[in-house]
Amino acid sequence: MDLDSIKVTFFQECADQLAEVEQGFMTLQSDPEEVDCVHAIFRAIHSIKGGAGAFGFTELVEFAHKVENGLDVIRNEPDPGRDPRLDLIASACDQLSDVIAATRDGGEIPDTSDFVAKLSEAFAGDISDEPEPEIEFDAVPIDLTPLSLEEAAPAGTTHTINIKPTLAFYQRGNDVQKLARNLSELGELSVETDSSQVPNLSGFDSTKTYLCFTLRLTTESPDDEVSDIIEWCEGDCEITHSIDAPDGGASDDMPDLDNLLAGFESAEGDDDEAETSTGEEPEIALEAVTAPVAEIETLPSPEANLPSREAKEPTPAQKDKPATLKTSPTIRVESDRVDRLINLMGEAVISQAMLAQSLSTEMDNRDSPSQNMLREIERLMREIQESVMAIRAQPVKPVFMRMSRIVREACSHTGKKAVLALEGENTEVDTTVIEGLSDPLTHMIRNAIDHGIETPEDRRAKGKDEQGTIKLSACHQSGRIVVSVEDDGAGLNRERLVKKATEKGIIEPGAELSESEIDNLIFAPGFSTAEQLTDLSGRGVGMDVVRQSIQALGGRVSISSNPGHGTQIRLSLPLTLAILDGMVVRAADEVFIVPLSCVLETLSVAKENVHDIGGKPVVKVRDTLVPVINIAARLGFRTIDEMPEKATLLIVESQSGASAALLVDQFDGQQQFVIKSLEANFGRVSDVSAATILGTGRIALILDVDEILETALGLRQNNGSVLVMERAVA
Amino acid sequence: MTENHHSTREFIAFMVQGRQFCIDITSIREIRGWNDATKLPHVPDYVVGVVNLRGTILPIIDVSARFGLGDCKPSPQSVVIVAQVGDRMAGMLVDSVSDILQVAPDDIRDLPDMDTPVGAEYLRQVILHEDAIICEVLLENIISTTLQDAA
Repeated sequence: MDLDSIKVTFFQECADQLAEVEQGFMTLQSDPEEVDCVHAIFRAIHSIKGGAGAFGFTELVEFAHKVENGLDVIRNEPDPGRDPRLDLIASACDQLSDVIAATRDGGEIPDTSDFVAKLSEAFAGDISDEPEPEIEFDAVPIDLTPLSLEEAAPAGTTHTINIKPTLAFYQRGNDVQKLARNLSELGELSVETDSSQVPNLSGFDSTKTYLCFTLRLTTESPDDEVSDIIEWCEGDCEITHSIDAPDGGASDDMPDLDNLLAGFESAEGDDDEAETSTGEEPEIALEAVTAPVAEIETLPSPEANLPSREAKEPTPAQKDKPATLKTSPTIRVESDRVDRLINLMGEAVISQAMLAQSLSTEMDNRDSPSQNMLREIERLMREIQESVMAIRAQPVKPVFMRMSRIVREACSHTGKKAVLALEGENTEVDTTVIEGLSDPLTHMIRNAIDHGIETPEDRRAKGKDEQGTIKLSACHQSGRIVVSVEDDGAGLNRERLVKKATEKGIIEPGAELSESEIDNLIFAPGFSTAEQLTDLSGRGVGMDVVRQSIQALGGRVSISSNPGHGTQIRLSLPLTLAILDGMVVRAADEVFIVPLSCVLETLSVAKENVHDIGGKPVVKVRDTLVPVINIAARLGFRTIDEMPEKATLLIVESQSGASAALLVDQFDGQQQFVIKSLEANFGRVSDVSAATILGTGRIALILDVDEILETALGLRQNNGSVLVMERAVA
Repeated sequence: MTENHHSTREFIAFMVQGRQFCIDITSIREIRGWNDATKLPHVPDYVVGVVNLRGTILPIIDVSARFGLGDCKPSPQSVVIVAQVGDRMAGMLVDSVSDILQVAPDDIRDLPDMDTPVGAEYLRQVILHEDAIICEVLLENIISTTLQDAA
């Protein structure tokens, strides 16, 4: 691995850490009691700082250090989750992410002095103005040459560290052995394990921790290097750390000790004990010096228990441990490789279906060995298919998380107050869709805060909570993913929309528009209602760009607004590569797939039971009249509304709640389908959301039930113009 | 290899309604027999439908209908030329593939100002080949779905 690729890994990890930070802030927002999040944020920032130090990114290290210091103060407060300074830290983390991006791309490092000043001001009383010895990160070049025992015994200070790990310590994959190894690089170390707390087997609880460790380190390295190592596990362990310098210079170092100890909140209770034990230190130090380093290698790992105990205790702890781990290890794979796998997979599935078909015609015996084998392959293929799809699908969460930064920034620009609420952030979508979502969402959220959410004063006057809410949600619906951005602001001002649109010549003066048509004006190119142009939105490109980029992804945008109560924008996007549960139907000799999620029921109907009301066919289902849509005629595959003698009706519901009966010739059962995009080589086709490949190798179209219903029932304008427009984008 | 060979370009010649056209061989991915396509709703009549090309959805364009020469009524003898423009692929339904042409640069000429039943927007240039004059089609415009049928 050359340095560059290590750097790449570092930046990828930075991204992960930043996501962790966002997650922490999100959780704190909804539940300030979650103090663990403050620690998690702290650890993430610390990791970034550590990695940056190793590469000598000094600007990054310095800034991260400032942020970390602030956080350190906060987390030692009695109620860290409610500390008002967390907001400042959050903005600083945004800035930090910019610094990281600039460092990665070799761009100009953004000026952080502003934040540094703010941070220093906010934490002025809590951080001593010492010249930050921790910045000397270059002092930790990883030296892999083993310590030589022959060297003269170091005459440095002796650190006594008592560790009692909690369960969380092990759950995070930490290990006392690792800690000991790191410490042993600084000097000579001896470890004692206190197993007196371990109960007999009958009382043994595998989810509790019983072992305590005493690590004694004699080192010449500065004290903060030692604390840097143990700092990692502070949150998860009870740690006491005492320092004793055998030489006369000890008293000089002592003031630092207090500073160091101040950081260990969990140590406070045990401090006295540790301090008073200093009387014994010289003797211990001596012992530590003579202890061979090799001992460390044979240090019993806490999971494995002590050798002497092993006989008495079979290893329930060991056995149970993996089950308690929260995350499994991950690997990073280029998406191209996954794409290739998926394409091959698709081909294999089709070939297998074709093989099955040719075999079944040759021999009818279902129990023949080859038929059995084929069924086995079928089962395996399905499993492989699902696993491969699961690789490609990712939760939308990372993109959603990024939006909380946008909310913060937009709020600080406009002086408004808003929080982001997420829903369905674990909805899985194909990665390409996720990538394409980021920009439109950014625009929409800025817009919602800039134009939607009112100022705190206005909101108070209206009897609303001073703080607005932007709700970002995702869900699967009819084989598409629906992402909605909803604010509880003022809603659209239709009067002003019409006025502006008329002024800009987008609509004719005096044109009669329905409410939804007026709302949709905001998507018109060159439209902006902001009376004050801000640097956030209001350049009149925002919503137009949103519409275009969503259409480029094969999606649709719709808006609904409730004056005084807020606006909701819904993006309906295809799952470019995903599996869909669908019903197979036939109409006019073609096979179509209707997403199972929108089918309420199926019934067969005789021709005479379809009635005609005002030229529109309806059918009576129990006590309600349901409009009938003849699919073959609707798609233009039958010239007139001719109808077979016996037909099947699918009662379907659109996402807006409208329902209708789709009339088809025949219903052929249900199945899972791999969704194939029509957009890739062709473009959007009205009434069709995507295509799939049947077992015969033939293509079947997946019907877009929402579009069919909404245009047929007159809820949406006829698609003629939409078709041309969407084609132009595709 | 001779010098001449270097600069020679190859074209595939095909027949549509008794007329010969050609296309640069480098943009052709493969040539397939005709399989029944799945019809698409609400599309111009020159879009025959879509077929499965090893897991990819391949739209099929009826070149004859596109050129305004009438529907070609696909038969088992019809041929689909799979061509690629940028990252888009499409199949062109033609009556048959007739020849592979080796053409020297001198034999490639600009499109003359002429009145043909085929709209000039679908033609790129002309090729002189053994006394015959063959038009090279402009693939981009044939498979483009944004260009409205001008013919």
